[in-house]
Formats: sequence, C-alpha cells, structure tokens
Amino acid sequence: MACNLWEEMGLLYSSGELNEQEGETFAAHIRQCSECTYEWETYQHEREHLFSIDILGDTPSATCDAEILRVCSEGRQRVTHLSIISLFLKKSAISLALFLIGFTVVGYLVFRADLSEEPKTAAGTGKETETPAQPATPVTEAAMNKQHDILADSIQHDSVNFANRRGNIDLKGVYPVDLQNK
Amino acid sequence: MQELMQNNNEDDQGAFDLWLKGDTKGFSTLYEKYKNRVFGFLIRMTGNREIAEDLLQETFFAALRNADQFDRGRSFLSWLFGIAHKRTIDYFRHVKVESEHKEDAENAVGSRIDRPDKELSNKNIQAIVRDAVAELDPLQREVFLLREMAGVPFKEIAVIMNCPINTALGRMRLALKNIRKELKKRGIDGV
Ligand SMILES: [Zn+2]
Repeated sequence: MACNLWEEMGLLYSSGELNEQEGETFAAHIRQCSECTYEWETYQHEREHLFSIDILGDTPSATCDAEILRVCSEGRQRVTHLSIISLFLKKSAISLALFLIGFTVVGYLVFRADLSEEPKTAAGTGKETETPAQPATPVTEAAMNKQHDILADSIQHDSVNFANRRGNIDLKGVYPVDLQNK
Repeated sequence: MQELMQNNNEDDQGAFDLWLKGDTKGFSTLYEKYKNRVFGFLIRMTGNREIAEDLLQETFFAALRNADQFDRGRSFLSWLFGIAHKRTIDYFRHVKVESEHKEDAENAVGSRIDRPDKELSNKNIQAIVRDAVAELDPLQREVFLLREMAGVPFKEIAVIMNCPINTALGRMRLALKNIRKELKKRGIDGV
C-alpha cells in the first residue's frame, strides 16, 4: 500500500472523530486517492451489511428484561441493597447449599469421632497403650485371653529355642554344640 | 455527526436524571435503547448467553449503584460500556474459560474449513461473521465490538480499555484485517 493516510486517519474519519478541518482534508484526499477510496468503500460496505447490530447483536430473554426493569425501575435505594443481595443469593444458592450439606456431614462425623475417643482420653495416661482400660465385657475378656495365649506361646517358643541351642535333659543326650569338644 | 452525538448524549443524560429520581420511564428509555448493544457486546465477549444475561444485570445494577461517579463530560453510552467492560474483565479473571472458548472456536473453525459452503444464505453469513469475530484476539474483539456494535468512539474506547488511542486504532485495524481474512476463506468479499 503506497498511501498510508487511511491507516492514520481513515478509522477516525469513519467514526467522526476528526476535527472539521482534518475531516474536510481527508474527504478531499479520498476523492483523488484510489487506495483510500477502496478502503473507505470496503469498510462502509462491511459496516452496512456485515457488522450490523442484527448480526453482531442479540436480545436478552424476556425474564432477564423483566428482572432488570423491575429492580432498576424501583430506583437507587433499592438496587444498592436488595437487588445485589438477590443477585448474590441467586448465584450462590447452589454452592451455599452444597457447602451446608458438606459442613453438616463433616461436623456430624467429627462429633461422632469425639464421642468414641472420650473414654480413652479420660483414662489419661497420655501414653500409647495397646488395650485401653475398659470394664470387663465378653470382648475384652476374649482379647485378654488371646494376649495370654500369645504370651504362653512366646514362653514355650523361648524354652524350645534355649533347649535347641544349649541342650536339654528331655532331649535325650543331645549335647550343646559348644560343650561337645570339652 | 458530532452534533448528532451531542444531542443524543443530552437525551441520555435527561433520561438518566429521571431514572435517578425514580421515574420508571427514564430507566426504560435508556434500557430499551442500549440493552441489545450491551447484551450483544457481552454475549460476543463471553460466548455464553446465560453469563451475558447475568453480566447485563450486573452492568445496569452497577450503573445505578455508581450513578454518582457518572462523568457528565462523557456520554452515557461510553460510561455504560465502561461498566460492561469491567464486568467482563472480572468475569474472565474469576473464571478462566478464555482458553476453553478459544479451543472450542478453533475446533469449530477447523470443521468449517473442511466443508466449504456452496450457498451463502443470510443465516450462514451471520454465523460466519460471528465466528470470525469470536476467533479474534480478545483485545481486538473488544475494540471491534465497542466500535462496530456499540458505536463507541475510539477516544472513549481508549478510556474504557485504559490504553492510548493509537493502540485502540491498531487493534481495530488488526481486527478488520483478521475478520476479512476469515471471511475471504469462506467466499465473502468486502465489496
Ligand atoms: Zn490515500
């Protein structure tokens, strides 16, 4: 493009933002410059046929219209308080509901967990214990019996171990390895 | 043209004053005059009808709430679009959907190019122009919509978008260039 006047002034001329003198000068230039004439005509055609409000615009729904008209027609006092609150509530209703449900469920679970932990903390040793001190119930008796069995097994296991390593009279003449050479 | 703009502005300010005094007619005059332009701008910027309706409500509520800040030296139209611009920025700031929209638009354009239309009905032309606008870089798109759809002068666009007027003009030139390129691909020539 040899002429760059369109780039400089064309858009402002189209939007009517050049002052009177600049506007007249540019209008006179367009009449004698084929490049600027082409640019001007192209742009005017586009504005008329392609960039119209029918193509670029749209219409809000009747519900939206009614809500805006209702709130804004009531004047300034109202829009500053109620409409903002109602718009906020409308937009946040779902998230608020979800938050409340989540909060209730988590709160309930935490409450239940606290209740079940209460006797343990009441025992109050502050140390980790395998079995909390609890009143005798079938369950704790069973647990104690089991622990007793484990202890008994362990003692038995230790004595067999000792016998294997150091010898035992019950094992009929099997001498410990470390005594054999003496 | 400037005289016409000035009369228009005075009419708007008269209606705005009536509105502030609680006269229903003042608001309905302004609302009927500008709702489609503001809504068109919001829908083309966000690409979502429901969000555009929410932002339209917020724009008009904010206009009433901040009526004290209305600078009588500016046109009501520019001021209103300044609010709509801020609402749009807030929307994009909080919900990062821009890249998704861009992806959607790219997919849409990709499929369109694969099957060129044989007949360009009015409806097709509308869709093609809208797609071409949706494809623009957001800053170019905003300048283009403010100018072509809302009729906001470049000086005011520069104020709204907080940039020098030459930047606004440069974005507009790029927008036109890109739209033309896209339309040409689909067999629509400017003249
Ligand atoms: Zn020229």
